[in-house]
Amino acid sequence: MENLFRVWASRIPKYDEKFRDTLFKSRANKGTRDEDSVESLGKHFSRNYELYMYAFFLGLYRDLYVEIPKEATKVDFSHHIQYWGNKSSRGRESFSDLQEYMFVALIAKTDIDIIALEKDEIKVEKIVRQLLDTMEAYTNGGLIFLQEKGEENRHYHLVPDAFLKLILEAESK
Amino acid sequence: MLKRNKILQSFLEHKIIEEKYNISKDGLPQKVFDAQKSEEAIIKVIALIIDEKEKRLPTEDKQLYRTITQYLNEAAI
Amino acid sequence: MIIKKIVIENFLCYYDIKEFVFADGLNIILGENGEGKTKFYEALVWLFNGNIRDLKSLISARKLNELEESTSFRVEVKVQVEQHETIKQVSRFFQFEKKDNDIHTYNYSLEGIKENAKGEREMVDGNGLLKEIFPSELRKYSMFKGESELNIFNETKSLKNLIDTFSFAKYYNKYTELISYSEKRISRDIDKESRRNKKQETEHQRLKTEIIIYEQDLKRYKSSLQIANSEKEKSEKGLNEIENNIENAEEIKIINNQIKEIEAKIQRAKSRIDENYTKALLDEKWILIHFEPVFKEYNIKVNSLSRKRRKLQSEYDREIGKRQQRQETVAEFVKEFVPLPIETPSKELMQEMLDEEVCKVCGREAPKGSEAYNYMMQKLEKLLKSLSKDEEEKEEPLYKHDYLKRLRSIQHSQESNLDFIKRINDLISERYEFNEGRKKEVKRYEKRLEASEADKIRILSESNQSENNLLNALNNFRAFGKTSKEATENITELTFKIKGLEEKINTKKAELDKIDRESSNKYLIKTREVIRDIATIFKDTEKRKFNEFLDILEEKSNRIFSEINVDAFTGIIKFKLNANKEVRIELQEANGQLFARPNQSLLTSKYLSILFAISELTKENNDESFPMIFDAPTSSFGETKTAQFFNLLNNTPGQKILLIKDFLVKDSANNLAIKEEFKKIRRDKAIWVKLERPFDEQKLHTINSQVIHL
Repeated sequence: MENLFRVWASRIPKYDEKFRDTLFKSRANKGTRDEDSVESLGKHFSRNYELYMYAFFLGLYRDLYVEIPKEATKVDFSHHIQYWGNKSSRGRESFSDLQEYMFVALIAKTDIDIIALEKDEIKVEKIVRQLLDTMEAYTNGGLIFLQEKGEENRHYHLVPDAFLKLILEAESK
Repeated sequence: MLKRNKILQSFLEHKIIEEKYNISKDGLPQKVFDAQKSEEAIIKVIALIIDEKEKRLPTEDKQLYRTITQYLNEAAI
Repeated sequence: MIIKKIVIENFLCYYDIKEFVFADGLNIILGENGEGKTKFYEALVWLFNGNIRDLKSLISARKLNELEESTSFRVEVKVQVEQHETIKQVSRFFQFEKKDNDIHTYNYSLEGIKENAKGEREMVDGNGLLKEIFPSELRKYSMFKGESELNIFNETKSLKNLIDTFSFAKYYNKYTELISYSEKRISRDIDKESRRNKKQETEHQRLKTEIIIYEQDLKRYKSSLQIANSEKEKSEKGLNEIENNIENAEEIKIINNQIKEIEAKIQRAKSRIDENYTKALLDEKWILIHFEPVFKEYNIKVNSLSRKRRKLQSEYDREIGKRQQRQETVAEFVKEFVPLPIETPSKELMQEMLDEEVCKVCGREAPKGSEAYNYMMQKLEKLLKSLSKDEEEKEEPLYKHDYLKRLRSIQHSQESNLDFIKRINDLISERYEFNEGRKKEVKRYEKRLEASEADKIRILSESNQSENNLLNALNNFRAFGKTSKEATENITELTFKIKGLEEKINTKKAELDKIDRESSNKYLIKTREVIRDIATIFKDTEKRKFNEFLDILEEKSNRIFSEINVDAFTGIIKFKLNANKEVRIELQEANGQLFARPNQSLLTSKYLSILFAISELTKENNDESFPMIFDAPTSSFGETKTAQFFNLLNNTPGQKILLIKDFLVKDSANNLAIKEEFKKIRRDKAIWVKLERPFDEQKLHTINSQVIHL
């Protein structure tokens, strides 16, 4: 069966390099030596993709669709979407449902021509690229939001429900 | 001689031998000499180590490591 | 080994040659303070260990005083022993002479004499023979001066020594070393092999770096934990001491128990607080809380796409139908509206509806011959046709792919989750409420804790200690309490962190193993597994042997301990192994609590018990026992206890030489005499060392200790 989900999930989405040191290294726990980040920030997200997913939903709910600027360097963390939250490797809940929800959101929010795809007028690659663009744009929006939040208040994340609150508040936007 | 065999027995009492290697307690060799002829690689290696270590001039760890791995690598084939 | 004879010549207070003849069993040397007991002990120490001080200072003052120009004498301490039915003799000596009114020493040496097989005496190396008759590591546990020296076990180091000397565990140490080395080597070998595989090298390196960083952190945390543990131990010991020192100790104990209970409750409540909200966002899918509108958007889109797709299909079909003059019927009913997808309802359902003459889509009857019935019939035919891979159909299909099908199936499968999404809000509120509840609980307990602690301080202050003492104690008490509390919190936090780090390290190691497994020589992996298993076996066995030894020692010590303290004290000696593999000795009360303030007599009996236990072990291990020599070990013992102690000495095998000042009495003329009670003491030999009268304490050259065999 032709399966857009599977093709999309076999890809690795990217993000703006400028967030690598400011957000990913400090928020997601990746064995950095910086005491503060390991102790207090790392508690929130234990993997890079967790922060990525979080930023995506945040951007989605707040409708922050901001494409990564052309001149920016895009980077990734070499982890295919399909392996995000892979149960066997972590002893936590599987994220496969969340993968599907992200996909649902991307289909809903992206102007794609499925009919043309089915007629073979365009390639599946193009559609998937469009989906990834949407994903990266919302995530980028979410990351910018987090960055600004951090500049506003350097310690906002120190309360345990900081990231939950940001999601809960998103509804009114 | 007595000490060698006592050491062997104290090692073979470990539960790993029975639980992981499925070697029943009854079938365990009592003497280092017999253990060296065992068909179980782990027993044979333990016996080999004791034999080398209880010599008047014990083999050095480096050399003994080589002997152990060489034997185990062959046994794994 | 048994000491048969000790000969002392011109050594300190022993002028000329003095002989001590000993028997197997209990030998008691009586002596008033300052009359030669301790000098006898020092003579032995000098013989065994050599240089205790400058040689000249060892010479008998009386001899020195008499010394004429150009005459020479010797200072010597000689021991004659019987070992394995052979007589052996070691002596340490030097000579001295007077020349130009100055004293010179020379010829300092240690000499051994041993009987050979033919019974002839021959000279041997003194040091070697000394080692043979009385190994120095055993001497350490055999010779003691005063009660304070018994205390050798307060240093963890000397306990380690003890275990190295007596336990079989030491035989296992080399195995542990070998296998640890092998473990490291094989991992390195596998590393090398894995690294050969270029592709995995980066990942490998990354994981290794991460593991190293985590391990460094772990090491740091562990050493902090160690510090926190010892801080806690220290402050608790301090607290204990203060509490035992004041009145109302019972009440304090009750309050302490309350405090412990409350603390446990706080701990429990705290552990139930789950504030990992960020994790719940993902793991419990709370992040979907606002997803419903997005999902609706998706539904609308997929539905409309599906509709559009079918519409295009039917237009296309009509086009083809017209062109081919076929499928008029089909064309007929597709012109009015966009039909359901061709496979809906299924073939089986269509057949069923026709059989029952009911349209189950609209819920109306469709008797044979009616318009509805015919419509269904046509639809079935069309479906059958589409299913029967119409090969003659030459027309190219409109769609080459069907991506929508999967999108529709997601639609169906996620539909059921909408209920869940609607409930997320409640779930979050529940979690908040639960956590709030626990926090309130913690606060409540903390209040109670404060109250109990205030009670405790009140009781402490009511105790009738001197004000100064009390103030000190109270201050210390507060300080210890604070330290203990902080340390406990530290320990909890560190333990938590350590656990987390260990988990992380294990995960990383598993990932590394996986790479190894994929890239490396399968044989090496298998070999490593066996080596790791052997490592587990070796390490566990060493630990087990170690513990077995401690068990034996503990059992023996306690048996002797209870013999010395008949009826007086019911506690036990405990050998405790801490996390750093160090052994400590504790005195516990019958209820398992630390006995905080043992008096000197109890401490002495504790140490003596352990020493006797060691002596027993020596005999069992070496098939030979060695003499035990004590200088005034029991000064703190009362009469009953001393009697019990002598009894014990008499009942344990082996030679003992005991120097004591008891049983001597001065008569009216200031003459020393031996008390009558001494006759009742069972012993194998008794010697009295006594200064020759008259003497002047101030004039050393009048001093000469006589040795009287009783």
